[in-house]
Amino acid sequence: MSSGQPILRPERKTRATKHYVGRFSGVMALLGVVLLAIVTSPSATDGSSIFLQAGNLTDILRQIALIGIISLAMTFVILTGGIDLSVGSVLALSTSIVAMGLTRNWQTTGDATHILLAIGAAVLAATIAGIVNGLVVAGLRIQPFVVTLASMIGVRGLAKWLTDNANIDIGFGQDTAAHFAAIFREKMVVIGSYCLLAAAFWVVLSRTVFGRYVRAVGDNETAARYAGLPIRRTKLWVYSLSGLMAGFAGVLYAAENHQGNPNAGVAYELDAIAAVVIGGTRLSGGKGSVFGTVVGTLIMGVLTNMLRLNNVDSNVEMMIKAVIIILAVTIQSQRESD
Amino acid sequence: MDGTRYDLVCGQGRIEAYLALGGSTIPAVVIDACREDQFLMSLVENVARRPPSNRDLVREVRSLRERSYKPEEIARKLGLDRAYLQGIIHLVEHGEEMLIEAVEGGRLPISVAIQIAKGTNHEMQLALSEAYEKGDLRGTKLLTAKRMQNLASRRFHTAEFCNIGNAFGLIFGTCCGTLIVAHPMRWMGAHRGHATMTDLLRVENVSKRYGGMHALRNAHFTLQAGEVHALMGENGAGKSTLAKIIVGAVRADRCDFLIAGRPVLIHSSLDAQRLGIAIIYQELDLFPDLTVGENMVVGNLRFQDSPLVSFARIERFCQPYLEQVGLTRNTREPVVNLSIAEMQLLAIARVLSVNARIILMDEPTSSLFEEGVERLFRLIAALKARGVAIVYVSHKMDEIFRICDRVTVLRDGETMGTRDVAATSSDEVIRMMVGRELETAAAAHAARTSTGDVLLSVENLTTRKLTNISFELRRGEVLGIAGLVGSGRSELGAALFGIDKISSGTVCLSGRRVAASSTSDAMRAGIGLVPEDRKLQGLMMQMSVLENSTLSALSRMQRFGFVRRRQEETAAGTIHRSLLLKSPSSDAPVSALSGGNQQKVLLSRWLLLNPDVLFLDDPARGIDVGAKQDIYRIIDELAAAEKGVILVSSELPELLRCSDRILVLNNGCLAAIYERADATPERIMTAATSETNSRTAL
Repeated sequence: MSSGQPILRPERKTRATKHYVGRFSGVMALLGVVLLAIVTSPSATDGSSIFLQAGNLTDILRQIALIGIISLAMTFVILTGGIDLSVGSVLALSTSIVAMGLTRNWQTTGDATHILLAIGAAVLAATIAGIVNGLVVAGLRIQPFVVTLASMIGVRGLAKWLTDNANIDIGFGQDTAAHFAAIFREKMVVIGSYCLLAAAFWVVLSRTVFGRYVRAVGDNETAARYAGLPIRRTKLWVYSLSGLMAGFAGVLYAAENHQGNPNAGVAYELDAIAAVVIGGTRLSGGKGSVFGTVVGTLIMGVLTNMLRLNNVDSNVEMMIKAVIIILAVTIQSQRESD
Repeated sequence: MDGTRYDLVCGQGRIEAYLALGGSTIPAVVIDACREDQFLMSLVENVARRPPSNRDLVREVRSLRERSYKPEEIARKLGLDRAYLQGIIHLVEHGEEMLIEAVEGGRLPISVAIQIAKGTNHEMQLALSEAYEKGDLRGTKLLTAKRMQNLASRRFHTAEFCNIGNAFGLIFGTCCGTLIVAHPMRWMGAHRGHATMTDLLRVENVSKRYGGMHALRNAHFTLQAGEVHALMGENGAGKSTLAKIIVGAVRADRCDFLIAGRPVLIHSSLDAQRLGIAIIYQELDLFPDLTVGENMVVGNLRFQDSPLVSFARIERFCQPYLEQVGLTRNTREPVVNLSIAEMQLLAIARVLSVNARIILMDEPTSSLFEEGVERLFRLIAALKARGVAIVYVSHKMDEIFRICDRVTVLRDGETMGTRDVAATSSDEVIRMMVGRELETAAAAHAARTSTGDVLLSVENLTTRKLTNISFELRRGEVLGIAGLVGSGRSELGAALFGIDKISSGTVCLSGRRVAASSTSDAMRAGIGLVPEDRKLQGLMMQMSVLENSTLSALSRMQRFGFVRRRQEETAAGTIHRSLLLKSPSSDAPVSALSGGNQQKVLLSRWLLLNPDVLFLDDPARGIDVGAKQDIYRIIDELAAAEKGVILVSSELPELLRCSDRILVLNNGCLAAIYERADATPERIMTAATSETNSRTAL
């Protein structure tokens, strides 16, 4: 009996390597999905992989940009231990307002001013929605889930009411609205804004005092209070940012789809939350990164692209996404159980 | 007892008996049979009386089967009941060779053997009981030592040798020549003197690293049956880690475990539970909303057979253990209704109910009042007498010297040595723990004289929990706050720091009125507070040591909202060095640090901010002597730097050591203020506990 060594097997990974693995497990997963996409990609007529064509790759980036932008701010919200369910509705509000603004005949202004005013109005409205969320969450101390669930319903109603529940089409002609669409549906504009915003959010989270506060509040709110941190201000900012980003995404949505649609953005909040979660941010707050969220968004994007290239039914696609989310969270929770 | 060969040891005290008889050299099966003692005793008296019966039946059935007779034919031929015959055939064809031999040798009734061949533990037990009642159990020398061991090794993991179920034990018992039913008291009394005890538990070469830091380095520890063994050391010395490794909550990088001289593996808490090792954590890990009974049985393997458990069954199961520890509560009472002392008793009852033979207690008295402590000590003595070994982790020297037999001291993850408590002194233990002599209180205190201006004046402060508190704090003064838990000590801090709303009264800082409605207001005004509960109220456990230290002072370390990393690191580094903080690196998560070092990180947050008034809420609670000294030194330095310090503490010596004046709170009211020269423990305790709140004592 007992011929085996009585020594405990040494732990396979030290904390340091665990940390390392943890940090890059998202990237590894992304690489895995990319490899899979390359392997399964159908070939073009010249025998090259369709997936790897520049056009396809930039398409992926453009497709994820909207969710990507929303999920950047969502990362902050979740880091504070909150959640923002209203982003899809806010996007719809913004996209409706920008389309309405563009299709109105504002006499006095030139093209550029007109476009800027329309965008300004849309983004402002979205930000106000975010500020209201923030005020209620921070001021009245109601659970963020409940607050943003309510505003998800309310803001959607507002968007529908403003537009009489009708799509506002943006034409393809030579009018202001068409110019707007031509500029803001340009691939490079969309991808460029996403990249810039991602970089900005990353810097804010990792380098600024505000970023530190965001993590501290989510990690332990009671302790943050005892440390004299401006908890309410931090929360207000976070929800405002979330509204702002949803608003900006709404503008891009209007350009891309050539219409303001009050029914747009349904379930976007869930996609954004999924990207954040896949990116390794803890839903209870305190732990996570912008980099992770970007990786999470890319994983979702590449996966969708891969499945579409292979003509997989979109309903099957949803089921696969479900599995991916659970998988990602499982890997992370194992990392944490140390 | 020596010189005789014993084949079986069972009953209470079996482990000790087994060990004293030479441990692994005896082919013993140690049975978990506390509650079957009566049964066993009578069993011993009854074995080997009845003549053999139907011993040839098996042989005949076997030979017929070998000649390919069908069951019906055999049944007809031998005139047997079909079901009975099926049993015999099963036994013949599937039973252990040993079983068949036992029956053929007339040493085991056939009905029992059939059940054994068929069955689960439960069935066996029933079969045995029946056989016993019918009186046809017998015992002769059957199993040689070797065979017994073979059987054990085939059937059981080594680690479980002492947990072989009752039924198996009984079967072996009927097969063995001699049974001992050891009774602890009788046995311990008779044999303690000359039995050479093997160590019950022995851990060697224990190493564990967290990141770059060694929590344990080749530490070793031995524990004997029936002793109370203190495990001491400064915070960060590795006590908790060692305790967690022993109970399987943490896995060591390297560790040799020996239980009763045999190597075992402990990979999880379940392994530890099977080996009879259990821990009672400082933060009693009970479920507050479940009932007493549910808390007792949750996680108990015996209650996992069915998804529905009746309260009656729980009650039957719990009652003996609750009585043993002296907890007189209904099993259906929710745990929230219990006092902390009662919860502790419940936690002990729970470890008893899983038959723990080794119980680790982590700072068991830290939240108990005197009466609770006495009750705990009585219980420990009773457990000890029953042969349970107790590992007692504590910082309280007087407790160690009162109840412990031996003490092992750890320092920086290494074992410094083990001493008999009777043959050592607290000075020696402290020297081993700290590696240096500690300053004496008097010497440290003589240096300070407080003659500064009034820094903080509080008048008629009233909140929900406080009534009319007035006092002054001078520059360079340390004001101690004494009082029982719940007397409003922490609430005073909460009121000053803008957490609790002040309903009336004024707070003035340097002559200016402070009306803090939030913690950031208070912080800006120059008041700091180090909260009582560092995990809940203090630290962000997922953030790094550095981030935790500088969190409150970030606004001074930024440019355009960006954190100035270098400035941050320099500032924090200086403070950390002055606090003698031990941390693998400033980027390490604060959760990787020991309790004392976490406390230092929390303290560094406020030292960085350098407020005029610092309210320290029990800063030295549950931390070791060395870290305490470091914190006292910081308090002295703060006073020397003309700051005002308010120090809350549960330990009077600490207050007397650090404070210039001591303010006593009683039930939210100010009971007395004593100059240090007038303050005696007796006076303070009287003021803190007297029923009439003598507000006029000012």
